[in-house]
Amino acid sequence: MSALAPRTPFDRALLLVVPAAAFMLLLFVYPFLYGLVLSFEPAQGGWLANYHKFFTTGNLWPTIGTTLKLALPATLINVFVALPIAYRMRVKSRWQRWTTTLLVVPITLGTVLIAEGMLIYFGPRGWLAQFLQVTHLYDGSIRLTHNYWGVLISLVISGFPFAFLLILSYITGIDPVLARAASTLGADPKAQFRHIYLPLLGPGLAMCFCLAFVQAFSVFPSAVLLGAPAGPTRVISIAAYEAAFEQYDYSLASAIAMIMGAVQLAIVAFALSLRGWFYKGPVTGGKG
Amino acid sequence: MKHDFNELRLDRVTRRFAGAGGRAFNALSELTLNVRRGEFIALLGPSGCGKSTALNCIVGLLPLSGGTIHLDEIRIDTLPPERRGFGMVFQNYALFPHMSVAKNIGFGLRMRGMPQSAIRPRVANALKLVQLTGQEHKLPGQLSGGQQQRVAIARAIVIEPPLILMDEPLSNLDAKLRLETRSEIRRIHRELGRATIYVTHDQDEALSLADRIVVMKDGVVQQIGTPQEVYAQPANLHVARFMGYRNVIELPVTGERDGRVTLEAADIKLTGMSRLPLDGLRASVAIRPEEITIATQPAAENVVAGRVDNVEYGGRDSLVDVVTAGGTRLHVRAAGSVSLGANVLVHVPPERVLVYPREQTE
Amino acid sequence: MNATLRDVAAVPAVRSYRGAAWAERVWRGTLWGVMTLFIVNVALMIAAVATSSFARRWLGTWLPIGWTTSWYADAWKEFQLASILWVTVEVVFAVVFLSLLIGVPAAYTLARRNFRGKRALMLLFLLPLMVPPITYGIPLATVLYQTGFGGTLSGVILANLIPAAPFVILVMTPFIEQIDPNLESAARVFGANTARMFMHVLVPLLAPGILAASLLVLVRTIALFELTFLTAGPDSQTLVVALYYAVFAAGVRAPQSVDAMAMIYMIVTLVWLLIAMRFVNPTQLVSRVKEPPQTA
Repeated sequence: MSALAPRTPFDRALLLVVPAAAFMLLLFVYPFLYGLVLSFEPAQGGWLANYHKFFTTGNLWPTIGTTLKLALPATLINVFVALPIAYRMRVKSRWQRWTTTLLVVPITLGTVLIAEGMLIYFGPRGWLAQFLQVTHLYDGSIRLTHNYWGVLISLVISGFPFAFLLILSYITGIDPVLARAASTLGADPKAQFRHIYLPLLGPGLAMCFCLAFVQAFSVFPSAVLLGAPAGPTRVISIAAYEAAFEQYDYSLASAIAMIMGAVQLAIVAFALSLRGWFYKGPVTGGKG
Repeated sequence: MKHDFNELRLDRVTRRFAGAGGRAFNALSELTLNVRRGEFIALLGPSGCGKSTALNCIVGLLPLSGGTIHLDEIRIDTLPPERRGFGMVFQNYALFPHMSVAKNIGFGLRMRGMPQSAIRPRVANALKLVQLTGQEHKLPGQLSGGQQQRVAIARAIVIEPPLILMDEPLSNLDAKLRLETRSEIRRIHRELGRATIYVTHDQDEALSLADRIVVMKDGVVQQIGTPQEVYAQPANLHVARFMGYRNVIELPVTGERDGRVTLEAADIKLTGMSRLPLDGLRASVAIRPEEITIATQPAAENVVAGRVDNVEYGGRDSLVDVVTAGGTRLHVRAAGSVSLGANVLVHVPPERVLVYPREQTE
Repeated sequence: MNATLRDVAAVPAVRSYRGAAWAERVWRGTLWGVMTLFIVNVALMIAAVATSSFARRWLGTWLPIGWTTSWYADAWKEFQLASILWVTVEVVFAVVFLSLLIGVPAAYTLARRNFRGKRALMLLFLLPLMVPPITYGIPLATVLYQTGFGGTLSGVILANLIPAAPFVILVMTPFIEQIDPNLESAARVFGANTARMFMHVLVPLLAPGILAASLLVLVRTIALFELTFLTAGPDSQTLVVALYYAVFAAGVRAPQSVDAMAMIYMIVTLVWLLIAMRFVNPTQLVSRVKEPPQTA
């Protein structure tokens, strides 16, 4: 044995990861840090001036509440309506494939097209309004566009398929033999869901909630096109956009973006902490 | 459901599946079986023979396409599994990964509305029975395969079912563990005395555990009998092959009287016993390697000459291939050792040459 | 053994079993109803846009008064769709190409090697997919404008790369993990150096994964609004951003031309979507849960 054991040669494969890592650092981490620093360097006032301004200006700080009032109900609807439907479709079948395919379409079309479609269809003279009038299900004009409801509906239309597909993939990951074993032990379908599926889905549901919430909280084009951006649907992303591109106050805009990120993080952290209550291991029933 | 019964009657139980191209095929055809209280029944056969299908039909995870199942006077094939009250041990154990060992075992009792105070001692008893005391709080993921197996068994027996069903419970264990757990299962069956239906493809397991064996092939029952019957008198060639009659030779029939059949080809002349009517001029004989001996002295009948072509030394005995002048290969289990290439005479008693009608598909 | 176990009784079961079946049917009907309502309404919504785009005049009646295709020509001229489509093509294909270029090698290293800091690196790559584009888009736009990239085509491409490259990594890593490393060793034993091994062994095996990743990135980039919106200038807008501006200023122009443009956008997306779905499981288009590729 030689006195000096040779060092392992530098693994050149590690170099392959450098471009991607550098790119991420340069274009994601750096702007984020830059924005963070910038938010503490307002044109006038002390280093907290931006934040102070945000929380005292009448058309700025309520945007948090407005956005939450839109994002939280939309997310809850999406996740908890998607759950039973995805559960019903856990068996691989023709229906499952068709529905999955049909639901992918609205997601990929994007928020802008959905907004335009809603303006026509849900508008006061659109097909829905006419249908309701003809069938006398609801008399009087419907106000589903250019207000809170329009944005909420658009958040559900764009968010539900995503939540559904995500939950479906979690549910199909649970070994069906577990439910069968439970049934031989006396569990009827309701008990099977309560004792087997629900606990095992816990972490997945929390994750789905987080992802869906983050998507909903950053609502932007729908709030402008379908909502009333001056008032009831003035969401926080609109405030950030205005600061950046209408007032050219990049410092304030960064501050608003930071606040937005912080609120999202707080709620996600809370939801993920609930995840700790649930079992997090593999969800098959046999030898690992 | 009841906790005890006299008889489980399966009457022409049939299960059809839609196969490829839309054609239906019978995974299980007209299974008729009476299981008595406390009996240990083994369903034995190769993959695809319908044994697991039969088990799933009995426990209720598969609806029947035809036939009925009765537990004494109650008809149960129309009930969902949660209402039948049978205990089942799944092939991959199917332990609930998010519940501790104690909660897994107590699950069935919880479903029956039993209070925790009553569940705990029963779970402790079950753990003692499968020798896993002390593991109550572990999660299934923290247990070895053999331990998971025993938890699955405990979970099925703690609900005191009238019938326990086991679906190839030993197939995922290594050889040593398999033997140990097999003894455990036999011991538990003796202690509890519950009727058990056990699915396996391993004939050793079936022979050692069962009171009666049901041999199946392609959804059809081939033979129902005690281990001794199935071992010594297989009902047809398929069962014979499955039970280890490795030598199956087709020969022309030269005579037959009262079940005693003579068959003769250029290199082989044998006398054997037949229980089935033979059709045609040819028949198949089945002989166990253990029942052929290397003849040390010439005998009256059933002596065949050949050359030793392959020797697999096994310590106490060897598995020897003897090839006759006509090219027929006989597998012989010979005591001691035999030299490769030697010319030998082999002998088998006529009662152990089983004669069957010629196989149709060959 | 004693009889304190309550029998799962057989006789009442008959009655409650029937009752349960009824409740079960109602529940199932409700779920199907909700699903159908959703799909039908979305379909009608899209149909409404389509109808409007072909309508001569449509005010408050079930169907338009007349039909015409002139709006498409109008929209094409008015919104300069030819140049916008070209810009979109440039952006999308550049993003696909570049994200594959930096993403696939990174995925290879992550799949094949273990090293210190690997988890931190994976988190770094995962982060852009978890954080919504608006949140990091605003600081990003700030930096781009400060460095002179704001409003240019390159700026838009760079911005769209940020969610695209991690997505490629996310899709390709399990793909590469699935390839037997012995194949690479075998290639070396038979005399291939690294470059030839890549070309003759890895790339052909990875081709389906690369195709899948490209299609996924393509579809997502076409539809990605926020990043392009924040970083584009007047001559570097993609189709979706142009559509937004059209809808936004819809009061000024006839709404039908906006709808015609919306239809063009939708057709472009749908064509690529349908192509993508031939090769890729629909769930992968949106779900961030990676699906291991099915072994043949």
